[in-house]
Amino acid sequence: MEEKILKDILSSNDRAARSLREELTRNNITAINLMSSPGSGKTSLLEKTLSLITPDIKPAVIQGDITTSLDVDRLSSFKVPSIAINTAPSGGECHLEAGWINDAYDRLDSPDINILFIENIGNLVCPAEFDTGAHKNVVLISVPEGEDKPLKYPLAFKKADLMIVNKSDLIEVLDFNLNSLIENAMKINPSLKHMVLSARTGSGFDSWINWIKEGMEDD
Amino acid sequence: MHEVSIARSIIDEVKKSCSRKILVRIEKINIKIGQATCVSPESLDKAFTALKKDTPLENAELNIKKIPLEIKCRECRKKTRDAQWPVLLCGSCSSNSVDIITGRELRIDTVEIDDSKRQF
Repeated sequence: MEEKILKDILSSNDRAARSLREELTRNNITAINLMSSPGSGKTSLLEKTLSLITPDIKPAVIQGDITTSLDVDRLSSFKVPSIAINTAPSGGECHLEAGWINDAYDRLDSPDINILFIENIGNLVCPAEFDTGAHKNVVLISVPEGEDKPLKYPLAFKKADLMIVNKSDLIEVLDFNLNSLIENAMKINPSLKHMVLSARTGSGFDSWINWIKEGMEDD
Repeated sequence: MHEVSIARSIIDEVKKSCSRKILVRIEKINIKIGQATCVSPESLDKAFTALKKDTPLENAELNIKKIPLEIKCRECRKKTRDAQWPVLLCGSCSSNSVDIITGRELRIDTVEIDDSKRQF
């Protein structure tokens, strides 16, 4: 005997993501999910962003790592609400799920915020399959990673609204072909926007901060 | 290894959909996995085998069907079967303005139940 189930395997996560997104929208909070390989500079991007934002942006940060709170510690001097999700106790998952983010958001207990940065676990494969509940998905790639990354890890680039090319100060040193990277990314996602910046020097951050503000108006 | 999460979700969703009497008689769970997903059927099978122990589904096997990628062009409206992932181009006009019709499935289709163990 055969019985129909006809359910999406990730339907629980998708439901949790939808419900979190609705709650954030009701509270006038725009959530931005940052995805990248380990070492592309997600935390450096956040450090620089927090040092540059204007008083109209009131951020909080949820950071995912398999273990340690090192990334949250790096942001502690900015005095913004932040919380770490460690996946090691529950099996060392290499992505964040919407339910875990929802729990972390509840624990943040910060009514006076309007931007929630979600720093996903450093991994370009697994996070792409799981809706986090964020309004916007950003994929970071850093210059030393090479121009072909979008072709090798297509889903993250397909799901993203914006590609940030970080460590732009290394473009000349590494003879990096920026046009080739953008071309590869556009092959995967023809509507993908991109920005080139350096979290070390601060170059290109005006566009990034503006993009964040525009996203706040959209949602 | 997000296949562990996916295997766990399969067990949870099947448990939610069937009564315990049915669960223990499930022999096969038919799953559809699209070609344009980041899921390895082999890893998923191993994860499921490990996680089903000590659950009502410990006699169940996963039967994974791969679903090919089919796209539809927004320009010429034609469909292309077996499109090549990840650079999606219309097979008729080579436009990159396309929508995925099939190939993103992560779906539990049906369960097969052993009728011989039926209890009245």
